[in-house]
Amino acid sequence: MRARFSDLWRRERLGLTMIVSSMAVIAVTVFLLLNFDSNERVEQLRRQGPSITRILADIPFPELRSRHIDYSPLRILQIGQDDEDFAYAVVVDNDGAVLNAVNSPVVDVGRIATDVPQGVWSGERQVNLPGANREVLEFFSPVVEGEDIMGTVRIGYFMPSLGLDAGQLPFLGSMALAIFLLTPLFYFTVRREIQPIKAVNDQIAARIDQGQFNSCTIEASGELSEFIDRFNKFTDLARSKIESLEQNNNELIASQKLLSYRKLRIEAVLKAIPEAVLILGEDGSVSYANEKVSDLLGVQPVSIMHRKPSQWCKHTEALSFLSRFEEKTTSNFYTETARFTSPIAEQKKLSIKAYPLFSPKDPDAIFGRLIILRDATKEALAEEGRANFVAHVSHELKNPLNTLGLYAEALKGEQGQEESFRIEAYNVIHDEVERLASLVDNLLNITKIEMGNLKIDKQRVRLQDLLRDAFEHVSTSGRAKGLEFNIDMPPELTAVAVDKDLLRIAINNLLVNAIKYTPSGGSVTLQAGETDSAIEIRVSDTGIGIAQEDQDKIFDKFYRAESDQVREVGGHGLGLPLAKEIIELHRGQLSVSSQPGQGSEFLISLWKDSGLMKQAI
Amino acid sequence: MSKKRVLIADDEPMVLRVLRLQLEKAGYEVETVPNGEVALERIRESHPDVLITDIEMPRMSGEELCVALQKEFPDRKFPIFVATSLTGLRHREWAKAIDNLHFLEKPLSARKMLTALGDYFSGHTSGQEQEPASC
Repeated sequence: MRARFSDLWRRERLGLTMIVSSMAVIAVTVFLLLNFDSNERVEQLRRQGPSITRILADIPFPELRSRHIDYSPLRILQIGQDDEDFAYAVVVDNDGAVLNAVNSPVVDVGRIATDVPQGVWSGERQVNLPGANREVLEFFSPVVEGEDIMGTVRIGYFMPSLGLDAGQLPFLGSMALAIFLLTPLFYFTVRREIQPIKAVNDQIAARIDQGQFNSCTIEASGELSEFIDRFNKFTDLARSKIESLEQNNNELIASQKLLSYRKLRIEAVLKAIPEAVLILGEDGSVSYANEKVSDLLGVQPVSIMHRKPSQWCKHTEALSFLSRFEEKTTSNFYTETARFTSPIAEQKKLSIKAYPLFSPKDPDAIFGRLIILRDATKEALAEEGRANFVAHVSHELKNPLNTLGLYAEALKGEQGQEESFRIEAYNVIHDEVERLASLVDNLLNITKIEMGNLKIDKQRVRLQDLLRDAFEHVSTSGRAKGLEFNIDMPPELTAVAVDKDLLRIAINNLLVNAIKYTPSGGSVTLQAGETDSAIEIRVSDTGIGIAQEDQDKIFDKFYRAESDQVREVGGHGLGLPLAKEIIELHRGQLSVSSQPGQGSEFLISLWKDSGLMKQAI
Repeated sequence: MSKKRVLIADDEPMVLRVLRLQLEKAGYEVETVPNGEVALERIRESHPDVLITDIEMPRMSGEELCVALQKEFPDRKFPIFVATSLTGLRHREWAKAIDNLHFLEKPLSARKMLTALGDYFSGHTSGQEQEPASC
């Protein structure tokens, strides 16, 4: 019921409001008219009342009090007062007793108040008339004869009320009808005017329901047309604003996705870096750590995030390096480097570098540090090796120089006068110069091979020629020492591809060694042969031999056995390592078998092409 | 006055030979050994008047020999001349703990060595100098 009323009210509220309003207007108008009429009558009474009382008061008193005259003044007054408001007209004596009276049928004269205002000239007053239940407006005036007041004339009128007069009904009815008829006229006019507004409203509501921002397409005239134009401009503006916002939003989302992708990519890069990476913020706390950190520092990346090194780093050396970045004041703009023992394994060396991260906006400001940690064990060993190598080389270079210097000095002095010493000195100087030259050659070659700078130039060569040539070259000096030289080769050997210069150095070093460590009377043999897969070259001697414990070490650079027999012979410990490097460069093998005191045999195995194929398979 | 006995330890036979010739000619009695181990054995048998030793030698280096001598013979009277190159400055650290030790710079010069020995024997009183000989 309530819903139905609410629906009715929603649809017809305008009509209903207008009906109610018109009724109210009619009521108010009627009330105002009646009120106006009533006031008019009161005014009229007040104008005529005093005049009539004074006229009556001027009439001789006896005439006034006479009840028997047919047309006494009071009677004439009553007749003349064709007025429904007339209540009474009385003449009273000075005591208030009614001497004569005329009255309306509804008034009981006997009940008219007898009190008369004393000492008051003419006037008016409101009195209640008992029984009539209406207020009466009474005018009074004294009747004077000579100097005496004979009595008082009192004329009373009922106070006009708002009551509807039957005579007024046609007027009021026509007026109400006119007002009432205006209502539908007004209603339909308003409705007609409102119709396009409602249509616009409905269309806007539909747009809102559909979530669209289209323009309003209703055609209208006048102010509504202007409103629609402005409304459409407003929606266009709003639409373009929204479109621009949407575009900005899309761009923002896209750039956010791109940023997120880039961040992931950078993290992937940082993760893939073989070194351990730490990024410290301005206060030294960890803002990024890759997984390698756990391998090198023994801490899980997750466990150290957003924590300062002093809160997680237990390793004294690493902490002393990292903790300096917790203090802003101690930071500087330089890359700092340190090396220390790994907290996990003592034999490991770690290298740590701290790079300042400069702010992209202010190149004078640092927003953190990039810490790179890596395993520097190999590097440390290499440095140690390099230092040892340099120490060895300088020692090996200085030894012959020392000898040369001493002999040169001796030659200049008295000793130089002796023929035998001069011969000895010449030989020593020759040998030492040879030793120096060979040391330098071997050093250069071995360095080239190790640095990977030596290009091997393989050519097919007749090995017999190469071996014989090398053999002839060294045997001359060997024979001078009183050694027997033998060469044992088949007439034909399968040709192999070798770098003949390098292979010659290797064979030469083996032959020179054999000569050096074989006492006079001994023999040196160069032998060549072949198996199915390899060419085998043997350099054997009957010299001092090599102790078992030294056999593994003789191919190490600068190694020299600690036997006096070895030390007596000048050497630099590079000949055999170089020979081995050269043979291995040919994918061959160099091995040794030896018995101290009986001699040594070095065996070079060079794979034939077919042998290489077999090896590869 | 008997000849001063010089013990020379070096692993280079030619160096030993030429030093022996020069020093003997200058009136010293020279004994040569190929390494520190043999030198220590010889010193245990009898102390020389002066020991000249190289540093890099097989079996027992010059440094090891000096340390062993300082430990075994803290009251040793004879001086030790150590032949070392300028690059061997690091040797000077351990040498601080050895009494009456002097340095000879390499490459060696027999003339300078004789001057140093001459200076030492002519001016020798306590044998406690630590400064390297000027050579």
